Amino acid sequence: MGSLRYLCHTRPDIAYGVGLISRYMVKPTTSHLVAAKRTLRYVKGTSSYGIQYSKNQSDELAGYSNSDWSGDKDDRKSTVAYVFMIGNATFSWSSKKESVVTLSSCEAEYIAASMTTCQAQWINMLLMELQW
Amino acid sequence: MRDYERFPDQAVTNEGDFVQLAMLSEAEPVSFEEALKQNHWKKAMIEELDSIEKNDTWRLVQLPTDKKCIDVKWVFKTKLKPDGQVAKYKARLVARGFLQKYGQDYYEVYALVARMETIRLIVAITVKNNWSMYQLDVKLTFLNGELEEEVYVNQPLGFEIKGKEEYVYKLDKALYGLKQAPRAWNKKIDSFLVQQGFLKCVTEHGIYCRNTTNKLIVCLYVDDMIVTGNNEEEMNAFKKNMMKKFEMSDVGNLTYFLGIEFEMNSQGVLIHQRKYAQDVLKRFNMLNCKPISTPVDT
Repeated sequence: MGSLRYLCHTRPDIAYGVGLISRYMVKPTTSHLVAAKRTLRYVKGTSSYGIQYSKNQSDELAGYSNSDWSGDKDDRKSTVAYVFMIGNATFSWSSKKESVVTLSSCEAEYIAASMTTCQAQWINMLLMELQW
Repeated sequence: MRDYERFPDQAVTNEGDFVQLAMLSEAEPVSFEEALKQNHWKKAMIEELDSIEKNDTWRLVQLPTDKKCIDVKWVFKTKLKPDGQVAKYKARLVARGFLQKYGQDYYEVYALVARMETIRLIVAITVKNNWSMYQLDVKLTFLNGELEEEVYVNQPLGFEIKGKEEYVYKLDKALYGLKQAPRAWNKKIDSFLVQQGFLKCVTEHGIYCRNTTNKLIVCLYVDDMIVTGNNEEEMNAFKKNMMKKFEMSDVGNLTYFLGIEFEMNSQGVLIHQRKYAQDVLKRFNMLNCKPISTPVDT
């Protein structure tokens, strides 16, 4: 599992899948093994995927956030995600299960937005320090 | 080195057997006695001691009565070329750091590294500006770190100085295996970069910038470094300064960093982990599995 996590350094596309399987690592069953194998099969077909950074990309910074309200049917907690891009190249992303139960999709989205804002602030400060 | 750090203390027996087992593979001697019988291993050990000596790592002293001494141990490793031939026999002297006690032999062990997203951000910006990226690699990294604590180690078995068998080495610099080795190194490189006019980023301590007439950025990942900036001459001057101060190798253009491959193409740079992905598939015996188009069952 850890080896799949490390693969996430250049693969935002498997971040959610890996996160999902990781949740069950405390007490895995065969169905989780099947899920892990599925992710590996996906990796097999896409092992040369990566992130392209281009010379002529715009330097517009954009961030997006989302949440799947009560996506985990066992405990009704939502998974939130964000992604940041410069031009059309992704450099920062996250997929994370929330620690609290939200009562509405609106509430869940607020949590996502707040998490994303924190990250945006950090990126902003870093860029300022780099004097871009 | 990084592999070694991953082993938790609990997994190591008092004799340090785990460390040795982990490093063990075919044809590498397990014990010192075994190694001493073979000339190439003996040579490797002498080489290692020479570089420690050259580096002013330690001084031979008498152990103060109120101090404890920790053991050192040899770890042997055969380095292979990609075609399977022996490239080098390597003997590394490691301190059995797991016997160190907090507050007595060491205090802080935390050492920081740059976040992956920072590295990607810098790659994005660098490509966009059409700057070049270089990678530097410090040799014998941890031997560079200066120790603040008083640490004594026994003389390595078989290499005791005649007539001074009772003496021990007082360490001035870190040895591999010491708890504080990574931190001591970080402190050293930090002070060097600051002295070179760099500012450490407050938001990301693994990044150092220098904004004079030209811009120079250094990403630090323990002993691996990425250097980038908008002026080739200044980058070269910086690399020269680094090499004067530390023993290091200039890997050249950034192609492979922390298992991530950087592939230059006509549009810019593609970062991917193809090789790593293949290794993972191989490890789980899935090299010949049927590919599927989505990572999760929906």
